[in-house]
Amino acid sequence: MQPQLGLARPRGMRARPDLVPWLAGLALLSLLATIAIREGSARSGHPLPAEVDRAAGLAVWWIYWGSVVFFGLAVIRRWRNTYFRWRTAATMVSQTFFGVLLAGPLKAHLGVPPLWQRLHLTWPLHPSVITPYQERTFPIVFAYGVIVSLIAWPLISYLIGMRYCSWFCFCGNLAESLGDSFRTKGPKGPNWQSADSIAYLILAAAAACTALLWAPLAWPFQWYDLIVGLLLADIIGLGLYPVLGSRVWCRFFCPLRAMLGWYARRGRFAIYTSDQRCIECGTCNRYCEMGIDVRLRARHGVPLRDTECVACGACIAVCPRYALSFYPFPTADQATAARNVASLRRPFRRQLATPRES
Amino acid sequence: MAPYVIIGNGVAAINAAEAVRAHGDRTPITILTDQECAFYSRPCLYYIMLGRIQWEDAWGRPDRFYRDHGIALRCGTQVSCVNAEGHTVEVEGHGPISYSRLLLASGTRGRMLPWAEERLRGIVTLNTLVDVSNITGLLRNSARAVVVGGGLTSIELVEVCRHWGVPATFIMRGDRFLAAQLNEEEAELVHRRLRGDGVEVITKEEVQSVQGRGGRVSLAVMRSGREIPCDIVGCAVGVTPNRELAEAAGGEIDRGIVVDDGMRTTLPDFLAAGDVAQVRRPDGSAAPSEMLWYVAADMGRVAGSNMAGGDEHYHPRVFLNVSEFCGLDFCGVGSIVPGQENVDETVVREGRGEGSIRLVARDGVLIGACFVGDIRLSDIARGVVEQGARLAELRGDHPLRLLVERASA
Repeated sequence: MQPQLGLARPRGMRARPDLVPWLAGLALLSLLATIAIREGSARSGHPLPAEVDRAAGLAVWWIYWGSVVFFGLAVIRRWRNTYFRWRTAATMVSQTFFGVLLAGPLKAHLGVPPLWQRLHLTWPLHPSVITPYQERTFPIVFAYGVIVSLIAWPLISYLIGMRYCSWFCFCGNLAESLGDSFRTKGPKGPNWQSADSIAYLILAAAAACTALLWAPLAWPFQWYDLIVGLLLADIIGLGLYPVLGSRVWCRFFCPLRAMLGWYARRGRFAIYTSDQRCIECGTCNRYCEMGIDVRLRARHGVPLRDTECVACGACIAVCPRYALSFYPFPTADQATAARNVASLRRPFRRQLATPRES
Repeated sequence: MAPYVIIGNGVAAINAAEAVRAHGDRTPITILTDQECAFYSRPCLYYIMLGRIQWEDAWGRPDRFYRDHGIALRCGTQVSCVNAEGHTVEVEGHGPISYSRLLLASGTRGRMLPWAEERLRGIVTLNTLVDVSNITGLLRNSARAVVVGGGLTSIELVEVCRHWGVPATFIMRGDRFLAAQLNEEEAELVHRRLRGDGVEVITKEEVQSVQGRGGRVSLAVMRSGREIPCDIVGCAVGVTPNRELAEAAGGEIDRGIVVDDGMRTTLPDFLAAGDVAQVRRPDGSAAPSEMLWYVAADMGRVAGSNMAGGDEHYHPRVFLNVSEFCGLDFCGVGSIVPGQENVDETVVREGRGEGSIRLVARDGVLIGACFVGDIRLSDIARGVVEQGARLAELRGDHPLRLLVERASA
């Protein structure tokens, strides 16, 4: 039924090997192997020598940081797009500052105080930030965790969407840099979309386990840490990059994504669409790492706002007809209003800087 | 109840079927199409051939769409005639199918010049997915291509040849490319960029005949007598509406099928939508069909809900067409035909890279804008055209106002 198109590359063009996906695979494997050896030995009762374990811990950090920077530069080179440049630069800065300097391999050399080491943590992705342990020993960390996790990031998500995931998050930034080569691998379709709600179960589990710590009951939390923290986040989340796309953890399992998404999809963030421009090519769907049916919104000309979009900007950048934008396409009413109302100036000015360059 | 029959499987047909279901009507729908595949996006074909879009993405609906919507899709069928009185369509090799309501959304086909009727491998058009497979197959063993035509489809063929490393000759009958939308300067920019890319652009010229060797095209002969050896001849000289069924059934015909704003033809229970339909204006004349994707989708939705017993009316929107060729973005908004009467044209050269913005105003009211190169202001212009605002009344720092002032300064 489907005709075979027999497309090959244009004549005269030699196959130019693209090394980035192979390097990404290599980085992924080394990251996985180090984590697996370390966690496996610790949990199986045959701990590594302290020196080796420390070195392996540092190696994970440096491979992670190196991947974010190196593949981030590859992203900037591949996507010649202003929004991508800013976003990728932000990820590099946040991973260098909050990760390597404050929480990572350099914290011992720099003598970073405990509160500063935990600035990047957000409950429930890092459940340890809101625990009785934190409350007793580091009340400031506990208060910080509550405010940032339960108030600040939800509010930001409500206002400008889940920028946390694409601009700041440790997992998300790896997905956006190292995972960029695997961006289109994510499974699409309504069945996979409904699988996204697994994350809500994990959010509930995280909340229950955290609450039980006050009981005090530690074993549910330990099991949560093993199943979600190790198996789903590290092994499946990283290991299935080449199969289920770079956002497999974020899409299906991440409890923080579920929590922020609840606010974001009720919030003000939207990707605006123009059905006069859309030709239903489906490229937006292909590049969406979260498996959102962007085309469905675009062909009806309705804004995409009822989803857990992480605002990566890929659909906007790849649309061949400029049918998508972070800013509203002016309608007649808005043009009328813009004659007099100064409040519409910003979207208009931003429309001038539609984030798409050749 | 006899099923609703839709002839055609394009964007108008699919949107009509969806609108029928959205209206809560569970009557069976039969879609008859002469193509051998499910619904796909026609404007994508260009991008598919450029390698910008994966062809798997161009399937417009999920695999389950037809089943979920209770639509019987019958591929590869040829409808030979419609009996509007008896409410039947005659399918070749099958016999009559009765219908309760009929929608003709058969679209258009590429207009063929006499030489293009010859049965030679290498004479190509760009209308269907099959053409894509045909063209990409041919391009791999071709040394030179000749493309005839002056519209968007022809430049798509030229760009595809260029992309695949086949030198092309671009022959148009008129004096410039896309004469219905670009003025001389804008078209000259396109010609210059094409020539810079190694495309030979010949204006005011026609292909007289095509000669072949061994069943494959080998030579194109111009009207002037010049002969161009070539392996591919692309013919993209406009389209012909597939209106024959309605014509034979006795419906009102202009270029396409004339319909009212509810997409009903003059025949009972017989609707038409998409590129084949022309909507009757209030003054009785038939509006030329715009041949755009969103127009067909809009018409299909109206036709579908009217088939299901609704009373919807089609309201044309401000013309907006986006395209891309020789590294230039192009966006036409509203009425931008060059050389209209009683209009003021303001041409601004601004923005990123080469190109220009042409604002067309009548009595101070913006009626159209033509963007070549930098198209970022196109939707703002569309908003202003839609609203019918006078340029002088726009806010002082409105981007279009600033453009006009800078042009006059």
